[in-house]
Amino acid sequence: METKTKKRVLVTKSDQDAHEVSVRYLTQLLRDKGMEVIFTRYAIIDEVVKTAMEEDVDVIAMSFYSSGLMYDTTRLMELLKEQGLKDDIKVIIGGTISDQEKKELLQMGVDDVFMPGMGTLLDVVECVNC
Amino acid sequence: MKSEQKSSADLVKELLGGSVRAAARLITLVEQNDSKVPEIMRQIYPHSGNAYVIGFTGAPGAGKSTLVGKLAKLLDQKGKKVAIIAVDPSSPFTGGALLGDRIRMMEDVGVKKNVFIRSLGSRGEMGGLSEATYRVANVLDAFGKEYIFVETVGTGQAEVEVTKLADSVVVVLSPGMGDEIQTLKAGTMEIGDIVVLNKADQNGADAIASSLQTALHWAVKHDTWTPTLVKTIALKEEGIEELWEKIELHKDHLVNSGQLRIRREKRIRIEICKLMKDKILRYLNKFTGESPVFEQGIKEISIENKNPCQQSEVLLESFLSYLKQGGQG
Ligand SMILES: Nc1nc2c(ncn2[C@@H]2O[C@H](COP(=O)(O)OP(=O)(O)O)[C@@H](O)[C@H]2O)c(=O)[nH]1
Ligand SMILES: [Mg+2]
Repeated sequence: METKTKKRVLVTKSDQDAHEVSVRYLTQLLRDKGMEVIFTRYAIIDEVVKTAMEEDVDVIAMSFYSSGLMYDTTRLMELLKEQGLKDDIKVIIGGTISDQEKKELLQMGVDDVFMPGMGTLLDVVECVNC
Repeated sequence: MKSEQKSSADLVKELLGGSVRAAARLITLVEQNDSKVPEIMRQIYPHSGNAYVIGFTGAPGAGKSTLVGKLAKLLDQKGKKVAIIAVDPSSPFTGGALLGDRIRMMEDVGVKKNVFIRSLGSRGEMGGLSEATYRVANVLDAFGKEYIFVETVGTGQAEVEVTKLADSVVVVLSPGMGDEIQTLKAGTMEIGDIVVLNKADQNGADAIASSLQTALHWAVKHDTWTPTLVKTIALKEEGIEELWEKIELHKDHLVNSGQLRIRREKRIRIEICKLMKDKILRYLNKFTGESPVFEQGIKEISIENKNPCQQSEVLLESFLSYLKQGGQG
């Protein structure tokens, strides 16, 4: 029997970042939408690329509620390009992000940026799913 | 869309050349039960058969992921090539799954290590093992991995399932899991080749270990091997070396007694049956979907009030001749 293709999503955050409630909730929402969600905390951003590659994910969703946003994302996008994964994987960033940072993130190739007060987690789910 | 337009032959070539990316893509394909599966399997089969598969099963929270991570780290240090397949249950309602085993492993098998980890959803399989797990293991085998660890959630049934897939089965228990331990002691459960009592740092571990030890002598045996007990504290990396020694002993036993071949034949039997079943189903779907004979048969039931049981026999005959003609007519 043919099995339907399932969307695979990597939801991840730095292990330095204590804020986990919203990402936890997001993973549940995504799972309830029928997706396979891999959840990790990373010590260094390079792990995210290794995980994304091995797990063959369609989407990486990262959350930042403390420092590291620009550094980690820059490195992530670099590594994805280096590995030829950039065009195959959608990158979504959420958290406390300024307008200026958002602009820079989009410029470096991030597909979408979500800030608090800008809709709900359901919008994020929508974005992951399309 | 991903750059998945690559032909399976190209992907297999890259896999054999050591591409992690190609391995991951091929795993996705075989897991989706893609129509390319027979072709992929034909191409990778000549390159597989070298890996040793070890199954880890037990209740959620027993410490399987932590243990598997530490063991993979140890083998990696010994220069062995290791892959981990971590299976978690999929929701029977949505098909979605939360795959969280990597969290406990990354610390030990981070970026610098050569350990390949893949998380799978059980996708509605009874024993918590996706049927495709066999094929995923085949891909990793052809990728050159010498040891493949398969972690599955044990629900009684899963132990049996994992036995079909693994060369050695490790059942992981922890002192908090009274029920599991009671069943094991009652001897009603077919148990693993190796039993781990993890979280040996917790209260009551020693007492449980000694009663388990007694129980193992009474256990249902697969062959002349007596299941052995190992105490571990995965979190503190204690007992990991000893566990590895026991696994190697079991491996030697299987090789020397000829049991390894028997176990693997069982596995092949299951896989072949599955392939045949898949193919028949594919033809059956095609037949019921497009054959005018089938449509006519349905009409005869609904309009002429023919007996469905009898009619299904007649249609089965038509299906069999349809099969013989290679799915035409
Ligand atoms: N006290 C103690 N806790 C452990 C030990 N091994 C694992 N754990 C903890 O047990 C919990 C479940 O571990 P995990 O590996 O995810 O279990 P799994 O569900 O069987 O894969 C985690 O919080 C681990 O840190 C151990 O040896 N001792
Ligand atoms: Mg686990």
